[in-house]
Amino acid sequence: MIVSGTFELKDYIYEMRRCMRCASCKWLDHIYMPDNRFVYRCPSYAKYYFSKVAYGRLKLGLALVEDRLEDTPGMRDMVFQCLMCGACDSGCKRNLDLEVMNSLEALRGHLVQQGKAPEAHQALVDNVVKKHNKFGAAHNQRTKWNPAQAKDKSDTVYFAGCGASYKEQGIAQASDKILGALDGYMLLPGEQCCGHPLFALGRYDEFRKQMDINLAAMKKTGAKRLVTACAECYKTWKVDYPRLLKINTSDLGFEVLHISELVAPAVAEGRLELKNRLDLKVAWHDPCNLGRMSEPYNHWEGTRGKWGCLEPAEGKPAKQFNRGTAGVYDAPRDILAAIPGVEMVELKRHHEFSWCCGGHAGVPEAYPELAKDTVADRLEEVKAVGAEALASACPYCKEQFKAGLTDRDHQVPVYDITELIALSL
Amino acid sequence: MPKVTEKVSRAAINALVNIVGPEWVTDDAAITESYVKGGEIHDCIYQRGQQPPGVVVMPKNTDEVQRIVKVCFRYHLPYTPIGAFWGVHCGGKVPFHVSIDLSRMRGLDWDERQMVAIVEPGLIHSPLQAEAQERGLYTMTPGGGSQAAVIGNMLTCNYSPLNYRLGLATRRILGVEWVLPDGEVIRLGSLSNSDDPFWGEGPGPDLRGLLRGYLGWWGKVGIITKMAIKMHPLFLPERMKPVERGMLSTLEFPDNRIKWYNFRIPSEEAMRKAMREISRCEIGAAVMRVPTIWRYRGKSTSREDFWDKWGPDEKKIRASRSTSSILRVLLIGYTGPQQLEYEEGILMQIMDELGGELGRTKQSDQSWIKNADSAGMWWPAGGYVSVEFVVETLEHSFARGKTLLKEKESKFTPPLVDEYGEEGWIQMTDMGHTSYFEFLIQWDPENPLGKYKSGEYKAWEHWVASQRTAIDNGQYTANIGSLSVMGLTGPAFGPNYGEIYDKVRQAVDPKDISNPPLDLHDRVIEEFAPKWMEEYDFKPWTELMHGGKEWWKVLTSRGYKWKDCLPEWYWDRDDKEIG
Repeated sequence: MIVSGTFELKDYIYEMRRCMRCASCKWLDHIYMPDNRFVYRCPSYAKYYFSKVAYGRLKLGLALVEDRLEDTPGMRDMVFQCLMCGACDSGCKRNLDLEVMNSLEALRGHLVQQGKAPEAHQALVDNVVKKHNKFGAAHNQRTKWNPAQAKDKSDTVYFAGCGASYKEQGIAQASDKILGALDGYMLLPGEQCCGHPLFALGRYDEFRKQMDINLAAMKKTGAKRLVTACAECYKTWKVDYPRLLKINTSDLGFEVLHISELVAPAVAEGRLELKNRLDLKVAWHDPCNLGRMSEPYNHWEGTRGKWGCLEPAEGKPAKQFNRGTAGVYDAPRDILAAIPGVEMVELKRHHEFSWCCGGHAGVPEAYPELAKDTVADRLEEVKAVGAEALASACPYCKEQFKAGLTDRDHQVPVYDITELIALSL
Repeated sequence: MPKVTEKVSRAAINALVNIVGPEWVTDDAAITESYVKGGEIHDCIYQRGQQPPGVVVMPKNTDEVQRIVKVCFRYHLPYTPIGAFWGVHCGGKVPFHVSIDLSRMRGLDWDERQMVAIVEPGLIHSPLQAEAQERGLYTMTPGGGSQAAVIGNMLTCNYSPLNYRLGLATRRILGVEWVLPDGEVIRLGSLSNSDDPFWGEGPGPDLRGLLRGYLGWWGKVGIITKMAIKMHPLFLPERMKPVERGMLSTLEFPDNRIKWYNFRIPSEEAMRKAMREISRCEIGAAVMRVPTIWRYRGKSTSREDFWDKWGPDEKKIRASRSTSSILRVLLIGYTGPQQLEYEEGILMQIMDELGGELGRTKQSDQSWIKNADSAGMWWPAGGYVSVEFVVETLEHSFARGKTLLKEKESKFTPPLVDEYGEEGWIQMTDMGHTSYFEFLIQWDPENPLGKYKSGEYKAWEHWVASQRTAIDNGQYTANIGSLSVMGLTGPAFGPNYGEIYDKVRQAVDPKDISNPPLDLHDRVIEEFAPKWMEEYDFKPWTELMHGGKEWWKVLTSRGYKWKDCLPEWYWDRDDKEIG
């Protein structure tokens, strides 16, 4: 019996064995290959080469699960010098439909269980578990960003997340303005970290506890939807929680929306007017966790039958593959198109091929050189397309870009989509 | 279980570190483990002998490659060069080899006036094509796929439907920079007396012939670090636009310059006439008979979706084979819309005469121009291999297809995927002067098959048996690549290519360190066809290639036994017939 989305390495032997190193996890989709400069989709490979890409990690995973390999000095780096951005997964599913991302998550968990996680990750884990946010800040400062328009009760819960609560408070404030202009919102009482850092680090036991806390709080509100402006929180609520619960996203009992998904139809239907002109040529960065990583989760159980076909258990539906093409791509683009004066330009690598900002999965903490080179590569793209500004939809992307711009000749303002919307209201 | 990976001496590793720096050398098994092709599903025989390297080194330029090779020569270290690691031959075949991974050498320079691209060995096809089109030029994407390294592919197959119009790709090789196995660098063509690589021939003998053959290189005669390639003027005023995403992503054709045609042809005789007549009229950019299974593959959204369509359609497909098969033609208006119009007129006239019926097809490119989804060949069942792929006559292609189909259907279907009477892929090359033939099989490597632990063994057996049919039917060919298993290169079959090759090898690689093969061919023959050797007085492939199994001597002198050449998991299998 195959159960989708498990975290056991042994459950991915088929994917690890059937990977034939076609390198779709490494190269950009060939139809969309722009030039010889921006050829890769995997930041880890672009930085370290060798086989530090999904095919290499799958082969390592196979050797581990088959007990053919003992610990080596480079094993930890091989596994954790990875941004878990999911670009490899959408590449593989262009051709082979192997569950690459799930395999990498299981490999990460495998090493964590063996005590081989980078030491630098422990502080992050402790911060989330003990302080309820990834920065180790005081929990009682979480709403210091001033949720002026928050109500005591609403059908819409705004989940600010750690990034917007503590670091990029402008995003939370802009969200407050936007949601206030729509139907209003309430905060999640006692909001804590969604647990995304724990998930991305392979700390699934701790993540589960964090999930239970948040889900209980959400259930208590009786709200119909949870809205967030953070791509990481969005993916966690929409994909990872149901995955751990072994249910479909649609069975969560409430809707999970990125704020752009709320704003885009409101603008289209005339319920929200974007009237202020912003004369900007803006490059749009698709955050990994808003795009390819955030397709709805569909739990699946079945077996692998003849020719390797997946056969659903009796009475169950056929497996739906998440290939990264059905993430949130149109909503932010529609919003940018609706802001007077804004000209949106596509980066060289966009949609499911989007290049990660470099600020994910414990990489800035454990491998800052990878984080730095990754964001630098993205900023090269911004320059190459001639954009005057850069916009995204995740506080951590914004943080990463700001950090990456500090020592560069090429300076562009970085906005979150909520900030641009708020400016135009 | 013991580790598979062997260690290269610390002194040798230190020497490599001194060349490229510690960042670009590793002997860590967590990394070297993945320097085999994987999947157990590619080119079965070569795959079986793969070994993780003892050390991987990643040079940045020709100078570093040269110094690395000199170290290998000094320490008598076998090495395997790697471009993009698409070809299974990039996997090393002896247990203590050095993988020279050339992925960092991705350089691409242009001489737009001469329409020449100068490429390094890590460059793959899709960025080359993207940049070419920006300059009003283009090249073709090979069947090997966009992810294949340009140089590696130019030196081996580089087969594509566009070979029909553009000719075999190896003819487009111009100046070449070549690091010989002893570390000497030679430059061919105009590079031999200038820095301009625009011309392939130069003073002295034209050694490009040594690069153009089939059997033996895969890196066997050294490493090409730079190659100039002739490009073609782009036939479109602007780049084709990508549309859709994921599996359906494609380049949209402008309707007045480039167009696919699918014709249902009423008989095989009519098909042959059509292919010849189109060529004789010198129209078209690609002309081919494509196996039906690939049309189903092309329109499926998952493996499960493929089988939902392919399985129930058996009767329909078999019935259609007896009455017709599909001819696929690509026309390009190279000089303008009028050319497309003119060629279409001729094509329709030919089809009218032969009873060809025009069907539907998408006017976009999912392959050959920018992309080639060769990885998708593993999709339907998980296992795939091209049993045979040769450039020969059109007659040979049709005859060979029938022979191979009979062999496959009578003894090996199941477990191989039933293609309902498919006789292989045929495409015209060199404006119809030659024909490319490829016979592909697919199977499920996870599916137990009686005494065989996995589907893989049966495919292996099929490969050898199918090549036996070449002997029985006199269908051997000068294109020896796919027939290497049988060693069909000896005096009994014409020129002794193996002997010629071995002389070249001895001249340029006296220590036999450049990509030495593991001689599995002999073992396959011993297992499956012991009598064939006597019957046809075959010399073992290894004997031809390596005059006395030099590597065997080297291995034994170092305390290795034959079985040490194979990974541990191989010997742990239940079914040790081969061993």
